Amino acid sequence: MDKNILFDQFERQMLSHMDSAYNLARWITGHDQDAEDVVQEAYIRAFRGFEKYTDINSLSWLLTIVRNTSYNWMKSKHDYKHLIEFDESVHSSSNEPSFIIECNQGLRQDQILNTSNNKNIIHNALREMPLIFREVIVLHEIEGLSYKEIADIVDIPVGTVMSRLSRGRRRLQKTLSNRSNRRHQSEL
Amino acid sequence: MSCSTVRGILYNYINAYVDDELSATDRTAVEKHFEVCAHCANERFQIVQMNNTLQSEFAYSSPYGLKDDIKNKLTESLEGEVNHKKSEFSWGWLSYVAPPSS
Repeated sequence: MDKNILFDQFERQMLSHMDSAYNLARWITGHDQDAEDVVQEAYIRAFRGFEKYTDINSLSWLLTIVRNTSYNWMKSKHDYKHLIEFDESVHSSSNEPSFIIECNQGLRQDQILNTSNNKNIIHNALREMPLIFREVIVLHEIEGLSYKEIADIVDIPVGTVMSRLSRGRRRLQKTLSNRSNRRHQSEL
Repeated sequence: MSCSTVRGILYNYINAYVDDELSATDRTAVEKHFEVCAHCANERFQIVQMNNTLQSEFAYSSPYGLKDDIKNKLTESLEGEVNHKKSEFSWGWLSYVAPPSS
């Protein structure tokens, strides 16, 4: 196929996903400039593979490339801190939130969530969360992808997506609950 | 099976219910459970609230000019490929006439 026709097709199908691509890269790398560089590189890679592209879901296909490019980017920068695989013995045990989250006295969670300070707390908690949880939360909550789509992008079983998502959410709720309780105690 | 394992599985189901990822049979079963279990109904409420906050607040917008940068890079990449092919075509014959370097 003529390269210019291919270029037009690519632009039409793929550039509309640029915000999602940037959002995922930004959440994985943690930096604006890195995310920009990753997205540019991912688009070049995607274009090179576009001729053979047969996937029906263009967003999932592009985000798979963005995710892989982000991981490679971080490895090339020796940013291993964020790439450490989840270790059950380190990341679970006493740090794992309990099933039922006790909310602050007199405050329902929706009231707790609706303050800008607590939105910052959740934002920071998500940013600091192990990457294996963070990426599924971003793909599901922010990008609105299904478990199956996430499973394809991250290359894990659907059951693992479900489990990572619920554990990630529990961590966010626990963080929020802890901070709110601490603040409440300091105000007494 | 330990209590925490059972609770973990149950919590996964509540999450999958909120995400509309359960089969019709499981969905009905979980709904019936919510009617008799205030704890799980509260969990569901908390997950929904958290999701709403995440969806509305935490998407990073791509910076102004990124689309143009990508287009420029793609054009450069495309031109680079074309020039490379032209270069191979134009100068490839030289290898047949030039003496081998010592």
